[in-house]
Amino acid sequence: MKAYFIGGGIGLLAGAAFLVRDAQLPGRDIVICEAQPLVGGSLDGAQLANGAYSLRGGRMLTTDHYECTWDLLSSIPSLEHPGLSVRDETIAFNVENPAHSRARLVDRNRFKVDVSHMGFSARDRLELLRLTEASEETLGNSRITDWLSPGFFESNFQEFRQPRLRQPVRRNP
Amino acid sequence: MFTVEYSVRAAQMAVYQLMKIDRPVLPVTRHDKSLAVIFATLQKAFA
Repeated sequence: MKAYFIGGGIGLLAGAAFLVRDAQLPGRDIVICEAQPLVGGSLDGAQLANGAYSLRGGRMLTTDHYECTWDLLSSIPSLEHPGLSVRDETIAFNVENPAHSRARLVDRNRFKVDVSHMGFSARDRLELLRLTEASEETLGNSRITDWLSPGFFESNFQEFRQPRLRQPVRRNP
Repeated sequence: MFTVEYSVRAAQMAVYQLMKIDRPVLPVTRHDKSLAVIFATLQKAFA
C-alpha cells in the first residue's frame, strides 16, 4: 500500500507520522507533494537571507490543550538530543526561554497601543459572559452581531483582532 | 494554537478510520469550562 499526501502542512505531516507509528506503514511508501521548498505549511520558523526571523503563524506550544499534538510529539525522537522526544525537547526549550513581550500591539506609526485595559462597558461584559456560557446548540448559525452590541466592536479587544484579520498574508494563529 | 491541534487531531482521526486502527483518540478536554480559565476570563473582562 502507498499513501499520497497533497501538501506538506502540519496536518498532513501528522497524518504521515500516524501512518508510520500506528498503521506500521513504512516511510518509503508515503509520498508528500509540497510546492514550497520547505514543509510544515504555516507552522514554520526560519531565518531569512537578511538575517531576520520569520514565523508566519503564532505558536503557543506552552500549554496542555494540544492533546493529540503532544501525544504525537512524545513518540517522535529528537534529532539533536538522543533519548529525548520532540515533546521533551520543546518543553525544555520553553523552560529555558520564557516568552517576553513588551508590546502586544503596535499601531501604524509604530507606537505601542495600550491594551492593558479592554475598555468594555458593563453591557459588553454581560454580553460576553452570556456568549461564554452559550452551548454549541444555542449558538447554532447565529452571527457574532447577534450576541455583541456595536460598542464591543469599538473596544480595545476588537482592536486586538482587527489588525490581524486585515492582514493579507495567510495566518494560522 | 488550537488550529495546530485541530490539524493533528483531524489527521489522527482520518488515519485511524481509513486504516481501521482500534486505538482511542484522546478526548477533547474542556479547558474553557475549567475554573482557572473562567476566573481569568472574568479578570480580563474587568481589566
